[in-house]
This record gives sequence, C-alpha cells and structure tokens, in this order.
Amino acid sequence: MRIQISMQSEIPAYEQIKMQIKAQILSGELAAGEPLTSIRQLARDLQVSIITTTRAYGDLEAEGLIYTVQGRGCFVKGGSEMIRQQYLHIVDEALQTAADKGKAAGLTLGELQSKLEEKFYG
Amino acid sequence: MGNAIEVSNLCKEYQGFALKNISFSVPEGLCCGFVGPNGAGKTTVLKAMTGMILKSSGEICLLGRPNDDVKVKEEIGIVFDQPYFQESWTPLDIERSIKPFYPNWDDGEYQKYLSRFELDPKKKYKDFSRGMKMKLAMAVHLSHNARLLLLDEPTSGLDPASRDELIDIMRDYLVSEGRTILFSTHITSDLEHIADLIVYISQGSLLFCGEKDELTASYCMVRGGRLPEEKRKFAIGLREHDNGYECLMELAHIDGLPLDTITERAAIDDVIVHMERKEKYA
Repeated sequence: MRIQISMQSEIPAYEQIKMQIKAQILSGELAAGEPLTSIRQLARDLQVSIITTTRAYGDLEAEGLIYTVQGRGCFVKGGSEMIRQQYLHIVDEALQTAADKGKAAGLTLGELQSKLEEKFYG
Repeated sequence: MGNAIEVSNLCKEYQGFALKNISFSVPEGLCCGFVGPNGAGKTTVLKAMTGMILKSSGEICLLGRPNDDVKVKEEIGIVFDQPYFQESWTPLDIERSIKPFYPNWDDGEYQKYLSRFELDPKKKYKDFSRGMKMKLAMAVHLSHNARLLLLDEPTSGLDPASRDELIDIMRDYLVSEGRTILFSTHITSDLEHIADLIVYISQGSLLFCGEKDELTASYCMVRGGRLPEEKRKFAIGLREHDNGYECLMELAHIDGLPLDTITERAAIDDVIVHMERKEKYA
C-alpha cells in the first residue's frame, strides 16, 4: 500500500486516503485478502489523526471494498461488484490474448474451447 | 469503546479565578489537544484530574474509575511543565525511585527508551536540556505501560526539531490499541498533525469540545470592505480598519455578504484568536 497525502489540498485528508486505497484495490495492486496497514499505524505514518484514518477505512468498508476482522485488522474484500467488474475486464483481456495466440498457433475454436474446459475443470 | 476521560461539572474556586462547570470526555484510543490562552485554567483542570489539587465539586473518571482510585494512578502517566525529578538524579536514580510505585514497570523497556532517546543513564537531571528532560519523562511513563498520558505543555520551549521528535514519540505511543493522550499546547501545528479532538477553555469555561475538524469546519474567515450592518451581530472577533474589516463567522451566516467579500477556510489558530478577541471585548 502506498499513500501520499497533500496537506495543502482542498480535499480532506480522509478523502485522499480513501481514494488512493480504492484506486489500488481496483487496479489489483492490492489483492483480495491482502491486509491493510492498521488504522493506528497508518495515522502514525501519515501524521494525521486516528479519526481521519478511521473515517477513510469506515467509508471503504461501507462501499464494500474492505472488511474488518476484530482484533486482526482490515483486509481487501474479494467478490464485491466493483471487483467483479475488474475481474471480468481481466478475463476479457486474457481471453483475447488466448484467442489471438490460439489463432497464431493454428488452433480451431473447438480446440481452444476444450483447452479452456481443461483449465476450468482442472 | 469506553471513555478514557470523563470530566463532569468540574468546579474549582480560587480567589479571583474559578473553573466553571467543565465537562468533557475523551474516548479510549484517541488523542485530545487541550487549548486555551495562558491563565484559562488548563493546568488547574489537569491538576484536578491527577488529584494534585482538590476539586470544589464535580466528577472525574479516568479509565473507568474515579480519579482518586490507586489503580488509576498506576495506569496513567503525568508530565507537567515543571520538572518533578530531583536535580541531582541520573536516569538510573530516577528508575530506582519511581519503579516501586508501578507494578507494571519494565526495566528492559526503560533501557530501550533511554538508548532510543539518546539519554545518558549517568548524566544528572539538571544537566539535560529541556527537550531531553521531556523525553526522559516520556521514557519513564512509557516504561510502566501507562494507558493514559496527561501532558501539560510537553512541547513548549522546544525547538522545532525536538518538538517534532516529541510528537513522534506520542504518535508511536498511540499505535497500540487502548492508549489515550490529553495534552495541553499553544502550538497549533502540534494539533494539526496528531489531535483527534480538541477541548478549548477560556477564562475557566469550556468553549468547545469535539472533533478537531468540526471546530474549523463550522467557521470561516471573512474579509471585506465594509461589513453590512445586519451581519454585524454574527462577526466574531471583528477587526475594522480604514480599508476594510476582518472577522470570523459561522458558515451558516456568510450567505448574503457582498459579492466581493473574501471568505476562506479558517485554521485552528484563526478560530482561537478570534474567539479570544470576542471574549475580551464582549
């Protein structure tokens, strides 16, 4: 997790933190299940108040991007709609690559499909 | 999450000065800045909390217990502006004399903090600089695992680098769950970077108690050529001069000011300075 906040910005610090974590989750830089820096440690590192980081994490949780395990901290959630969309996009790209490379290697659609089935049920 | 500090209707009467019905609370795990001009009564409140002076009336609960409970004293760390260690003591003497009062004292931790804060264990207390003395007092309280720190102007009289170092020590302290700090200060940059809450008193009365951002979010700075008569009653700490005026105003009242009026976000200092001016000339 990388976060840089600007103290001069008109955007409140909690909003900046929230937007940056969100962007990293959606880009896949932060993977599902990955632990986030604890609320208190992050406040310490960024030199902001604990309420600020608590609010940022609270918003992310409300948006379904992260979840809290009592006593263990916050983690990136998998399976939420936004993350699903992100995955669909990755799947599309990967399939496109598979189709292109398959064509280049002279595979038929049937052969490509059976290869996908192998992977899917493997 | 319970409150680490609960002060209700605290009164203390002295000749010529009184704390009037001070009530505020600080939830466990947060950092609260305690502000107000010199003579506002901050130190009196802190002394009443620690039992150094008797209150005239009111209730004070620390860590869920009345503040005169012995268990409470073991679990809080108090650092006052005036040193309370013997001048000729070394950090090692201090350890020997303080340790028996704290069942949770940890020798290893103390050693660790002395070396981390670069405090010579054999140097006399009086030979330390002000910044070093503060760090030593912090080392003592961090070593008995205090759950609540009450600090009276810990950063006053320190150069910017030592001040930053001390704030950093406070930040490190807060990383563990269940630790709370109340500290008085005049330096608003201290508040900007660490405080969650602000308790603001003036002339013995509470003026504000709440989240730091709330204090600044509800006001704005207003500058203009001439203040419309109907807005005069909303101006806080108004300063008028030949070329215009300047004041603080609640956000709710800025609608209807002339178009060429400048309205800007208020900083903590702006709020405090103007509130004080209002108190003085009210």
